[in-house]
Amino acid sequence: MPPESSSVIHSRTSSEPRPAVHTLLRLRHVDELIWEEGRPDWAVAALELAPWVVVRRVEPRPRLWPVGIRGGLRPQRCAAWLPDAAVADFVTPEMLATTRAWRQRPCADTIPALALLDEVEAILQAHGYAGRWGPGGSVGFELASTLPCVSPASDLDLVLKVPEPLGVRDAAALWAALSRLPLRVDVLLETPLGAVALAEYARGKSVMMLRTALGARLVADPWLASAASALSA
Amino acid sequence: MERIELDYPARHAVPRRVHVGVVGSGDLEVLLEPSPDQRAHVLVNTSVDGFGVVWKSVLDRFFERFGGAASIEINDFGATPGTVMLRLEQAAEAVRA
Repeated sequence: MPPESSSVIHSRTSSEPRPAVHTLLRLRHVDELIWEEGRPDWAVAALELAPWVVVRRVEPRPRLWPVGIRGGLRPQRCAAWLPDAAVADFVTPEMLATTRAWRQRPCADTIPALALLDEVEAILQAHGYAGRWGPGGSVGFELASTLPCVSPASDLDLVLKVPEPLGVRDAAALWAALSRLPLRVDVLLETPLGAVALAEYARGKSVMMLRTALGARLVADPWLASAASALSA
Repeated sequence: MERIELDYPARHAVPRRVHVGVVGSGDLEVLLEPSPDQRAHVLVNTSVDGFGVVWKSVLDRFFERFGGAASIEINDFGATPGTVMLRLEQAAEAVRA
């Protein structure tokens, strides 16, 4: 995490949520972004509508956050860096779940990815994950920015923080419950080492893909660093 | 949504069907099975249009080493080339296991 004592992020108390991958950051000004490959017109236009970017899964640089900008069209994604001091505010997926931000969205009942979040919350609570999950992807973006971008056909991306190893049987039970919902739910288990898809972990196979800040790799145990290095691609 | 089809020469048969990967953002699933002839056939369904050249380069590189007579179906949801290669190698490993 980039150290910068004067920023919004680091002036908060340590007991509050900390930014990490999936965190949405609000910009002070578009001109403060450092673009990785040029500055596409669509990205500037998108940021004028909603000045929010999402933290990407790459190694942070000193005092710089790796961020992604999303446009209205699916392939419109680009990478940039945001100076720590240029962050006006941030929201984590867990904060969106804790405040039930979906209940404030107009027309939510016509969009399954928003309308089903009360049900998703009940499932996660019943399995003991209250306070450790939140919506990511387009749903997280819409809830943070309040810019409508979730469509009736949108999938629901969820992030679940799992600092301690999760049993395959518990994972399979959670996946079975979420799979019964009438929309496609995509859950990333965030371990201290990276992220693994719940759908893949719940299969109980001996090898799975872990997404890390240094890229994807095949691992036997997403909570064990030694296994990750032994099988890295 | 774009559909890409590619064929490659093969050096050996593959013994079984395997399924790796998941349907999810930034990921892909790979379904690999023995092909009906002595060649490899790849069908890519991707949610992101306009990356045909990148797909061909990743698959060319994979088949230089793999050489199996397989029919491979890839369902992609915006994975990076690195993730695509990793899933292909996972499928190749699973078919040998």
